[in-house]
Amino acid sequence: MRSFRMATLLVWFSLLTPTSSFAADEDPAIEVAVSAAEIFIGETIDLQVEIRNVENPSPPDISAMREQFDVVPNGDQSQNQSSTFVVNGQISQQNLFSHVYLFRLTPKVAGALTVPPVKMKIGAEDLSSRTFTIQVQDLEVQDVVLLEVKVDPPKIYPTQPFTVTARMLVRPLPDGTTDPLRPLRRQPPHLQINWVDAIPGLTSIDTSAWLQPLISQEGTGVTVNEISASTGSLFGNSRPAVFDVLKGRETRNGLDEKPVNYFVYELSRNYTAEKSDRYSFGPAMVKGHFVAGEQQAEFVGRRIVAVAPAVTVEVKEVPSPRPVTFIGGIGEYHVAASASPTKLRVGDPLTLTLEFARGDRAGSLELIAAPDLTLIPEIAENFDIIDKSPTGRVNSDIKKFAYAMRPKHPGVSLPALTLTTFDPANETFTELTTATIPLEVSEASQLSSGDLVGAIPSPANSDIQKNESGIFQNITDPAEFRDERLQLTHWLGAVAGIWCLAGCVIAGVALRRRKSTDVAGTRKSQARRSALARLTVARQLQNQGQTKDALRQVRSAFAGLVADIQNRVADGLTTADIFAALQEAAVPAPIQMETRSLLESIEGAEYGGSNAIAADNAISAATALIESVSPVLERSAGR
Amino acid sequence: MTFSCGFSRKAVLNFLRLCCIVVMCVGALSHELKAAESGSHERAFVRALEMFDNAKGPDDYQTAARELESIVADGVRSGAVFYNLGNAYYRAGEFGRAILNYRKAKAYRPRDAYLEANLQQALAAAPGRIAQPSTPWWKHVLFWSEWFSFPTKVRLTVAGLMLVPVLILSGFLLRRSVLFLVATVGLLASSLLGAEALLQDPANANGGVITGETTARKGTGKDYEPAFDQPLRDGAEFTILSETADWTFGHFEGIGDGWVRNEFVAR
Repeated sequence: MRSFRMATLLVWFSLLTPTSSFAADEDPAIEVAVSAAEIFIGETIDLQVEIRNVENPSPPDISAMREQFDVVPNGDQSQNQSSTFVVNGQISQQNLFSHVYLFRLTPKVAGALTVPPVKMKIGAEDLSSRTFTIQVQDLEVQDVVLLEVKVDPPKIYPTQPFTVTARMLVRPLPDGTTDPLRPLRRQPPHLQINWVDAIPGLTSIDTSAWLQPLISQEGTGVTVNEISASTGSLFGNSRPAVFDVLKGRETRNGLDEKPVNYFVYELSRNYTAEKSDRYSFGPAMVKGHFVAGEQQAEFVGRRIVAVAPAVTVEVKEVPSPRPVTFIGGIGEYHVAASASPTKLRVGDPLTLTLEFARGDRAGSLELIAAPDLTLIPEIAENFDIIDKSPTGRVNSDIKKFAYAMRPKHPGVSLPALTLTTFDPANETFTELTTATIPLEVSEASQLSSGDLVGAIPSPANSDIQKNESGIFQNITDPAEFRDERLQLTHWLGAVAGIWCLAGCVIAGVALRRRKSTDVAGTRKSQARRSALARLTVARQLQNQGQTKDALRQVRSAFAGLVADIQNRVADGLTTADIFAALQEAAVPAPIQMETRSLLESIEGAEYGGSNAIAADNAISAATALIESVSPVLERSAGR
Repeated sequence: MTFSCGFSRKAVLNFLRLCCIVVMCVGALSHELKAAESGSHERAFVRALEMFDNAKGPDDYQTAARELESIVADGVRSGAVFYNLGNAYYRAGEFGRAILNYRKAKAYRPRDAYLEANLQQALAAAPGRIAQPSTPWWKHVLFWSEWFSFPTKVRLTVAGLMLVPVLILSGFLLRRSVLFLVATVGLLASSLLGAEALLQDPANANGGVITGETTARKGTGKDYEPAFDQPLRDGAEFTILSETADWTFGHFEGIGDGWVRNEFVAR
């Protein structure tokens, strides 16, 4: 992410600075550029320092800037290039040296700040950059928009949750009830906060899960940092996401000491601290055009920048002195102890497992350290502990410590263990106690050397070495016994089924898509239905006494039928064309003649010839003829 | 929104959901099949542990091994059973069988450090140990496959093969070429994992000599010449090339090929 930002900055600066080529044999030079010439106090600007014509420059001296700015290095990148040219057999090489350093500057004061030159020494030569001026505007004293950052509570212990809230108060519109951000929907105010990205040492819900429910569908609200939302367009454009963070109202006095019932907007995030530390939130900034009044029934806008200072959360250490049995846990934990095997002989290995389960208000399991069992007299007296500080294994919300130990005496059992955690709510230490684990330890029989893995070395042997002989013990936990047989036939059947199902669906959809784009096929398949529909219309017109229109519909039914089946344009088809089409399709001659006769009668009636044809008869005859003609035409078109 | 094929987005999503449910149901079904018969085998497993713990000598360890073998004979495949079986055979002094069972257990417990330690111990103790074959090149390429057990590899392969058609179908319906790309990558990964799983299949485990001493011959009969200048001993591993009713033909790494009587080998 950081390199991406840096690349973005470099591209941005490359647009600002004039492009030029500079060869290694040219004189060294320093070029500086800033991302903005005018900012508000509290804002930051990016400064690029480019050192040219020096192969491996040292970082530039920017100490002179620290008087007026807080300077934070923001990475550097070499842009050296080497090119080899072959012209007419002559080989020449050109080296271009350029190294870019990026800094983030935050002005400490307002006004026209002159940025002093960046200095560096190249060999015996002292280089310095040009000076330039940045206008830093002071924040306007206003009561239209107020911004503040709050944390609750400000002091906690690890594992305790706390909330960080950016609160923006906006003066209401003249009507007093309308959301004052509603008129700003085209250009919502922009909120800049520094706790959108994950903060090391703090846990919180994922950023998208935090902000997704707040997205405003209407576009009323604020934009936050560089968070964008997809527009859903085909081109995959994105626009700044707008978050609806309206919380309610709050009355405060304005600059004129009169009470103002502000609209309150809150963006809160809950965190849980895993470790002791101090965490700073802010400064936060809101920028945008806000409604500052009304003139002649129109809102008057004003560009406003408001900044809230940073606030700090202190995550405190667990108080001292701490009990010797304190295991580091802060919050609510449950502990359980188990041993395996429980029936053994003196000297046999035994595994004592301590399981710490995290409760609702518990902190990180990383805090839990392996309890020192040698501090418990009953255990130290009766058992040899082979591994005194085993490594804990975390599985989900449980941390396990497995102690390898051997009973020294017959008849001993594992006593109840008392361990201590810290309760942050009451600021007291709380004891956790395990149950006593009864063991059946009998006298040792003869032990071969192969049985002794990790045996206690004799005092004469000062270097503990691994015993290479013997094997590790059996798997004794029945939970480890699982039948791992594979039902391959079922699974392969399911795989085959899914592939077949997917294949069928793809084939079906492909067919449907192809049909939906096959205009000729669609026309052909619907030709007969369309012709009959026209005859239905003709019948309705005839019933309404519009005989001529009814006859026109009958004719257009025939023309449409031929045009649809043969994928032709229906307009302009004459009786002769229709007759020719019937002939070409090998429609039986009597039907051809009957059709021609009917169409000629209709034309005659329309153009002032004989009006003797009865529309009723024409429609009935046309219905019968279309039923006869269409199958023949379809077959003919299909050939 | 309606797609050009005429299906609404909701319908497409419902269909994809149905596919996922089918996949999950198949998974659940396979689990139920396994759970049904676990009671008696668990008792046998615990009984074998008690026999092992109370064992006084090789015969007692063999009794524990027989109890565990009865579980395997019922078709149960469990890393814990193979591991304990290896331990029982090791204590019984049958290093060849111990090695074979440790190797089978490795397919189910690839990251068990104790298992690896016991296998190395058995290999060191076996009188007939011969050179191990060098690691094939593809093992270096598919180094990550060592992280997964054989059943996990098969499950991942099956899941991948189920997911691929769903991705292809989704890509086709939603007209997203990136889904085809993901499906291609998924198919490739599933195929590689599946092929690797087949090569690691415990059912294709190699053979091992399980007797104190036997002679490998150049044919299926005792009249054939010995294949090697020395007899094979307990723990000698080999790759099975072919089998008859009485003899197994194997490749012994670094030595050569030879026939061994079936009664002296296990797989």
